[in-house]
Amino acid sequence: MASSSNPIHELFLRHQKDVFAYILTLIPDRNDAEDVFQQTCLALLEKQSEFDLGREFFPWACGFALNEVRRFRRVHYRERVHLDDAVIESLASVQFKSAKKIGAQLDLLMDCLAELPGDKHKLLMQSYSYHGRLKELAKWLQIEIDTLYKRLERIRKSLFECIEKRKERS
Amino acid sequence: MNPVEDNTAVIAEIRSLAEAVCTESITPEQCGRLNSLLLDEKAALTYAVYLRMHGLLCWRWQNQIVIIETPETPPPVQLPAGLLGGAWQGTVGFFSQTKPFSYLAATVILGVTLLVFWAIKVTHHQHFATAPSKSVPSDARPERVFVGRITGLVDVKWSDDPRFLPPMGFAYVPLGRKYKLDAGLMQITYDSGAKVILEGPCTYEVESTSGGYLALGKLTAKVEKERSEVRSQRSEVRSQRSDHYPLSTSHQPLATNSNPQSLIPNPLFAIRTPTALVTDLGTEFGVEVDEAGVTESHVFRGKVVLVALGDDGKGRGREVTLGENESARVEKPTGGGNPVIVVRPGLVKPESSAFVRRLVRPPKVLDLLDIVAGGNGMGRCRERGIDPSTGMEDPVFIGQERTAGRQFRPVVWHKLIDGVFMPDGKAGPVQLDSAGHTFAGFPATDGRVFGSIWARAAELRPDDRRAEITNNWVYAMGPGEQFTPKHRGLLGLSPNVGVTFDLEAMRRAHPGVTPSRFRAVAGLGDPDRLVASDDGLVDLWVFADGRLKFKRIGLRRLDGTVKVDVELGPGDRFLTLAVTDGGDEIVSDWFVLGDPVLELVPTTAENQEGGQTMNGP
Repeated sequence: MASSSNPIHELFLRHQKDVFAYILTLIPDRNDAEDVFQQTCLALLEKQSEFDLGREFFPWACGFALNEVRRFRRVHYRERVHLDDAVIESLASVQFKSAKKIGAQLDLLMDCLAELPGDKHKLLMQSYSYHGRLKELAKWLQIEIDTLYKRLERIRKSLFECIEKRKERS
Repeated sequence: MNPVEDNTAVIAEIRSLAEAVCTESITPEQCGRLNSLLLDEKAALTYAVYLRMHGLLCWRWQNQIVIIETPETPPPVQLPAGLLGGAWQGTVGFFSQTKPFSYLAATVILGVTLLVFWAIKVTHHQHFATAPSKSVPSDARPERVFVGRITGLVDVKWSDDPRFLPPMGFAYVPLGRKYKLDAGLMQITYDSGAKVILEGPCTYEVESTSGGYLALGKLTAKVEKERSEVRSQRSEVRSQRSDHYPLSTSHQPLATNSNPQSLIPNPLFAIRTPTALVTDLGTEFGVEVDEAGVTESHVFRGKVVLVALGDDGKGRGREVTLGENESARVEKPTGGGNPVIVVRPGLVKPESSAFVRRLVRPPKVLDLLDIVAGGNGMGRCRERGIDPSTGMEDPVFIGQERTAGRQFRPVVWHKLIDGVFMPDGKAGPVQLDSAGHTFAGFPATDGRVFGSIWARAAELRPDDRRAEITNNWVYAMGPGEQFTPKHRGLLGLSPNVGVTFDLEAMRRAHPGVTPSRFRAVAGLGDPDRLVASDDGLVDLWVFADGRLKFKRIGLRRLDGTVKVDVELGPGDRFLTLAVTDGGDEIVSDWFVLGDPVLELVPTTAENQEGGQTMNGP
């Protein structure tokens, strides 16, 4: 019987956030990405017996995620603003080819997050905790929504630049 | 792709467009531009890293329990936040709040469940699928088809009808199975994800892969896109299906498949009764059939189509589409003739038609520490708090002095907490809650507060470095076991501070129960553990809707512990706790409430039987 010591279970727990982030690169809408993530998890669990422990889990999981992305796009194509099919395949391909490079960059995220000034860190946390209810957050903070967008943009860009700088230094 | 003259400019543009994706403000035009730029590999790589960074931040923080309550918010699913351990506390909290992440959390829970029960279930199914029947020759035996599983039983009393064989526990549900309950609740989860809660007395037959026949009694059906935990271990026959979004994408007509042996999946979930056919259009609805066969249906969310059936079980061209919070009753005229549909808003029979919508036992207490730390009161969230000067979440204890004027600050990120304030009687009445209740009896204070409103666990690790820093007073005070006889923990409330809990929101979040008492053990922690200091001096105030229910003036450390026990009425909307500095400033006022809880009592006698009933919204 599977248990918490099941290696696939542990791999799943370890990489689930990365799988979700991968899906978000292909499905711009966060709610849709979460739906696709759910389907991906189910597909992974259904096929867990086929996983070879000698392989890397994350690329294997991304294969399922990509399939679920394609399936989602087929079903919801007319309802959504989409990236083109060719772009999806290109994004998937570049992430597959540069998996280690991207992974190494993102490993630096937590360090960069720790460097953020307290108020920026707090605003970022609030914005993500509000789960897209940025208008309500802006209202509560008594600022215009565009002002909030700009502040968040500056914070995310500074995080991104921090990651790039650290990568270059290393 | 577009020519890329200036790579730096393109990368900058990619970042801006990626940012528009992050804020979900991207326009179709921007998306078009993004499509053209992303064909360049470097641009695609930049975009991928940016969006994955965004995804990781989503993951990191969206597990926080944060909600701004709106009238449209559906009632949350309640799960004990301690179920999955520390790493999942936030997820479970969020699970109870927000639709999209409920999918995510459900998946995680499902994943754990699946992994644990995988082997057993597959073996079990195969056993049923291949075992020869005793009563049918093996070469003629129809293949047994399972459509779901019993996923909940609460206080069930099965019918003593000798022809009825009760199921064995949480058994798999085969087509054609009839269930007869004299009392209690039973939940069937179909492979499609649809859930049916039967409420005894009730007779229900599983007559298709997506529906059943309710001969008598009451049920609630919930049909959503999500796939259930049993779906992924569906029988071999059903595993040949290829539809991945069976409930959300089907466009077939409303016909139902009532042939129990038919393997053609029914596109829409339907409940048949002696007089009606209620077909789901993606929703949650209740159906009740009385002994005369009269059918009533109420829609909680989404839509259903209700068709009146004649004596021959066929439609008579009379049908109605019911929307949210609409009800209909199918009656047969006393003089005979075709059935009549009576539609009205709200429940058909408000006094009796309380449909059970969730199979959850109501809690007996709500843990205020869990709530302050972001939970729903049923878990063990700790080591988080609230900034008393702003009402925002404090993810770490802030051992600093704060000042913020006297106004009431709403806590918008937590639906069970109304707000915070810093009481100071110098300038007149102080607002206690968002309803505008005020209190004019606070003494003048120095208007300062030190530290966070903080939920701390009872146990303090011997190597916890926070306890060595005096500013972290809620840790520096040591174990404080005298305040935590139940080992729940400590609510740190250094004066001058007030926090108001929303009792009405708790009633909505935990239907069927109401807060009846507030209990805690009050007292001051000991600063002498680290530095010699004066005795502290504080005043404790407890209010319900602005009415003073309890006060203790001039509480000192040497007074030891004080039991706080405040009765709350069923109509009380807010509970306010306030602590003032006793007139000697805030130095050494390390005030805590140990094991603070709200005791809950059922709102009706019926709920004492178990299960949770909810009237329509």
